[in-house]
Amino acid sequence: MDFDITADQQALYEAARALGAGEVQPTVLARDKSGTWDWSIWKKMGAAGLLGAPFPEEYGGSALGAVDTCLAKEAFTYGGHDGGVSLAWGASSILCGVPIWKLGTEAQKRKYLPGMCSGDTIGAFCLSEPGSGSDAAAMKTRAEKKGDRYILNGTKMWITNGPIANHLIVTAVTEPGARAFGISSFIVDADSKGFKVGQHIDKMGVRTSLTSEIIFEDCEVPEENLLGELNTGFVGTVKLIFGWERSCLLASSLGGMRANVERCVRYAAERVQFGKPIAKFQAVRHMLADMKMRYELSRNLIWRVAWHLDQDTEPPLVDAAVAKTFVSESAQKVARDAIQIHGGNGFTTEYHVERGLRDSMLGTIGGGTSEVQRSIIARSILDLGF
Amino acid sequence: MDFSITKDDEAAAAAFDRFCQDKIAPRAAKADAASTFPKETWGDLKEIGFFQSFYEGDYGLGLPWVQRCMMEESLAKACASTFLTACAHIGLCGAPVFYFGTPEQKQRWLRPLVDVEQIGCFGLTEPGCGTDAAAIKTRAKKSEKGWVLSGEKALITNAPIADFAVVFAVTDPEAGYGGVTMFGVDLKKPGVTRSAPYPKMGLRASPTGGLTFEEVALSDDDVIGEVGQGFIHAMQTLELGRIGMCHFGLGIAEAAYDCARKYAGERTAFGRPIARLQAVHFKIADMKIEIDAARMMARRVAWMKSKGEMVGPMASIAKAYATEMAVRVADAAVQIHGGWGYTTDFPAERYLRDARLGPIGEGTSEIQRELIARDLFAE
Repeated sequence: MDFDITADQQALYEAARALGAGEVQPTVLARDKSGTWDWSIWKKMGAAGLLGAPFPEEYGGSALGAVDTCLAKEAFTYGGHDGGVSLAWGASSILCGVPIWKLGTEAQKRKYLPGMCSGDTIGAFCLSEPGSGSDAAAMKTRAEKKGDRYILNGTKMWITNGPIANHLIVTAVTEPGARAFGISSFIVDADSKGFKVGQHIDKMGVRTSLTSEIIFEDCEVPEENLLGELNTGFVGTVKLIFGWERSCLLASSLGGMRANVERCVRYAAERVQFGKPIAKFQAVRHMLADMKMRYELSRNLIWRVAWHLDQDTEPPLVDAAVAKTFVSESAQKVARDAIQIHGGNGFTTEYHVERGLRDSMLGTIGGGTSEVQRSIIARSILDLGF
Repeated sequence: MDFSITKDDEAAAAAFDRFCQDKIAPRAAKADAASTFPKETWGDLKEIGFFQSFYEGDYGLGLPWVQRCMMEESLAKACASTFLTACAHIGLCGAPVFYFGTPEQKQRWLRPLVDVEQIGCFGLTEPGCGTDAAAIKTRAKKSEKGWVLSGEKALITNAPIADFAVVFAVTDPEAGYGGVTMFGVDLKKPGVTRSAPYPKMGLRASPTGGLTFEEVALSDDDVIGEVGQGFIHAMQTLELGRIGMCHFGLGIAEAAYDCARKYAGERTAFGRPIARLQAVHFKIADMKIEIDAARMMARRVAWMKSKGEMVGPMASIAKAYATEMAVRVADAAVQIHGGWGYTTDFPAERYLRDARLGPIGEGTSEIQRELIARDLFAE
């Protein structure tokens, strides 16, 4: 057992942090306010090798490990303090990219991965529906085989990158009645016949990424776009990504926490009340100590999941659920405290910490709510009879 | 980065855990009720090699750090009082002698501690000063033959049963932090008296008491480390102790978690085991989350320490979290047991009483947060 961070990893961390600080942070207030997506940032992330972090070089990737990817993700979000762009990265590279890399055919990998790595294209992952979120197996979107293609009908909801995605992984029912065992995954091109971007969804946080409904109306998908085996869309794809999602995607929360701690240290040292910097008041100091504590505790749990991925072993479901719950809830706590330390200034947008809280709120909801994670943990440690 | 545990470490830890569950755990409730440390435990711990596990070279086996961590957790899980007394003896009292003592002092004082021919304690806290350790009043005045020690120590784990104490005393009242010196004191010396064991909330099988020194004659050979370096040595020792306290918290939390899971699976209400109720199994899931978070942090700090890195604020993070976590987890275990949890028929209430020392001993949670903040503000 060791917790060593190599010199290469340190260099990667610093490079990703600098990119975030230089290219993302300066414009985040405006982009958050208007809720706009910036392709130029995406291209720079691609050029820096971040978007293709874990993928092999032959597909345009940087061939980094999962722990490396977590470090890069943390650092980029720490520098940029922009949960939205980091989420878009996660939705494209992790939720869409990883299943294509791990389950896709050679042709699928060659077709889709290089663009996602370079930043020329962006991917998305369509699982949730208006009526099914945590209970994903209850989905209604159907895919029916007709000749050499599948015809998709249904609506997907809260799709990160939905309005701009060039291609999306879509889960749909291929065998009605079989629940989790009757769902398949498809790669759907956004220019397919019958593919429609539905309503754009205005939202509380992560506003620098775009979210929409996605509608399939007799959408035609060539059979070669089936991803993985038929009827393994849930047990295959979703099971594959949980470890990646609960490490590499979640690592952006670490960056948010670190950015918040640093902003508060600076602010508390400068802000004078009752004749001294508020950094001299224990009530403030100890709140900050708690924030730092949460950040350090969270890092270990994320690394533990990522390390399993680097060994090519499936991370224990319970470890991933522990990380997801602890890290996302810690990020919210840290974000709230950051506002408190900033006082009235913290409540205004220009001090960045109120955005931090809004961004962090997705953490306990997206990718399996905290409640679902606790159920997963409980099931793994207790006999619940189901 | 590597999160694997070697087969050797796992096997050694499993063997020690079996020993703890077979020998130590069954004595815990009775020892708590009697407020007495079970004498036979000393021999058992010696036989299994627990006291050999702390130091290397002539005084131990130099076990891999991961094994040490797992062993300490197992001991605290089986009986937190035993953990406290055994670790105060070999760790808090032994470490200053091992790390700062001369070869002769190690032979004279550490040898009998490792062999359990003598019991040790660590005399830093006084009736009027705990966290503010630099404010100690116990004085050692230079004499012709050496030193004369006078003063009072309080809240000392093992004081009622100890043969030997590491004692911190002011040797230069003008020099503040730099005026404290560490001494090795044979407690049979004339002028040493001890208080009766304090009755206390938890950890009752681990005796705690006070030591009074009235003009106790010490020689220059009784100085451990350099004159005036006592405060630094105390802080270095407590840094090690903080890692130990992580395992104290983790062990108690594990025990509480186990008993809560067991009870929740057996107890029925509304026609089914209460484990099936979300309000109950979410509490148990939270126990698991917090234990994991504390454990990984404790491991990270122990790993840093094993590499000789400065662990200051990281040890504070690990210690504060693990010990506070244990209180929350033990409290949840009592709650899950309902009315039975409040009785001594079940161990949950003892876990809660025992856990409560964690955020106080070896540096309160407040001083840990202060240390973390000092680091953040680069003070």
